[in-house]
Amino acid sequence: MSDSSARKITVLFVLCAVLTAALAIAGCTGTTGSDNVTTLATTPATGGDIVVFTAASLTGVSADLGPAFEDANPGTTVTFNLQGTQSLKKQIELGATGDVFISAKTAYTNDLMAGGYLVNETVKKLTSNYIVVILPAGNPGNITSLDDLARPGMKIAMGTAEVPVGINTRTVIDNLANSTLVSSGWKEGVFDNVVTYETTEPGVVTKVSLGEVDAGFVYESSYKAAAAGSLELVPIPEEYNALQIYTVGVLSDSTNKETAQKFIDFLLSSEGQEILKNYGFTSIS
Amino acid sequence: MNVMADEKRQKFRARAAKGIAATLVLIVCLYLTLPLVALVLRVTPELLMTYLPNETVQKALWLSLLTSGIATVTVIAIGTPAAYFHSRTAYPGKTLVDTFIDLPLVLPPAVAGFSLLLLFGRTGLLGTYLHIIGIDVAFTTLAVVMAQIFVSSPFYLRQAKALFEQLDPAYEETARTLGSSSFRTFISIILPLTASGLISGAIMTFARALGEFGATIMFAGNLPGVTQTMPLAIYAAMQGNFDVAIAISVLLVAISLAIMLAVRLLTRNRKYDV
Repeated sequence: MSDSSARKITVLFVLCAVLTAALAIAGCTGTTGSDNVTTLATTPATGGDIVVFTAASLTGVSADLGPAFEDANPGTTVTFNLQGTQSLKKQIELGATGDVFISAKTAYTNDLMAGGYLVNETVKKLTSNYIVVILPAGNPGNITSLDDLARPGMKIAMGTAEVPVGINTRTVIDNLANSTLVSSGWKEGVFDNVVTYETTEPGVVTKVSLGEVDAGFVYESSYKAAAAGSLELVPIPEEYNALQIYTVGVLSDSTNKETAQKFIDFLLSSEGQEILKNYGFTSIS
Repeated sequence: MNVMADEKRQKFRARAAKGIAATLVLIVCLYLTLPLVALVLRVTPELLMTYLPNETVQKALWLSLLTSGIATVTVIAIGTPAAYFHSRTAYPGKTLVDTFIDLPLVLPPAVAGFSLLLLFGRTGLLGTYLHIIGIDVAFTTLAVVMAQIFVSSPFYLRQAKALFEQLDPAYEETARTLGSSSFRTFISIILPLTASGLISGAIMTFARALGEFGATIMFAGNLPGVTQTMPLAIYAAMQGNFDVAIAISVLLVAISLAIMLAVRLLTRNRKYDV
């Protein structure tokens, strides 16, 4: 055997070892760190597998909702497709197949109902969520009031004008701008400070958690879901806030409408609502 | 009789092979072009007339051209001498350097962007100190350029390395024995001999920078006029006004096609074809 082919074999061996180690580590964390598993592994079809097109702001709570449903219904597997509601809507309109749709924007749900993409009688209100301002731990921008958000040099992240969290953020900012809570020119000041428009709500949370921006407009549930002490909060009074209503329904193309309906029933049950409440969602009574 | 049958069989085989080859080429072509056909079929002249003058589209177009241009010039300025020394010198760890140069080609751009954020972000490894002296890089136009340089530099560096390696050292040695300085040799002998190959590498780098998405949205964010390049504008528009997304996509396809044609023309009949 020549020297070079011996070397090649050594290299291949090292490569395999590295890959195996990486996979082993990934496997271990997968079983021990269940708190950050958002997309659950799919097992071979048991007839109980459903795919849930889920608004990205439910990323945190989905990690609890899925396993709770699976435990209560052995043989079922729930896979979440977590993206901005506007992206999910576009995907459904372009032919993506799933079983359940959880929307953060009622207008988008109505569009899909009108287009025949949802089984209309299954559509229900699921829960709701308020907008808050979050700051990185330590408050690097020294923001103590809503007024401070307009101070020149602050860095702010918010959702795009299409993503539900961004739509509600704009409503809230308009409400506040017309109130006596903030100084004149506040709205313009805030928008001048925006350094990034994110296409999902978790995108905003990430930029704030990393400390890369001074403040971000997100849902209350994201603040509640974050590790204690990792974020600070500037609340927005309820009278100026915009309550985000979440809706849920079975998709017309679903091949497993029975389990899909079961999952929706679970979400609306006291157990499902309790899990949502733990993550800072406001239940609709 | 036998000979004729053999000949027939051979002819048949040759024809069958040709047929299979042609089918395979056709499949490749269709697979690569049909998506673009689908895109172009959605376009009407009115749609382009309506949305191309759109402010978001215009801003994204100029920002893309500007940042990709700066990224390309930077890669050429630093990459050309670096690639030359790399090719002409034997040094320990050279293979490792080759690997690092190729790494961005296989690294998911989102990983590149996230890593850049963890290095240059204001709470990052280097960014913390830059922030103290008042320099914030993340979420600026500079961050767009840096992300583009990271992902697109291999296209130029690989090409430059290959060109310099193929070049016979006799040219340089002759020039030097005739009293030319190394700098003058590089400028007047080496560069002219490799120019067309280097330019095609630079064009590929520009094209890759123009299409950059994942690293940019992670490291530079998405702000119209500041960091929203064309691919980001397409992504943002996809979620709202589909027609805007189509208009920008067509524009990018046209630019990409023009770029590839330019590379083909430049490298035609050249020794250093890629």
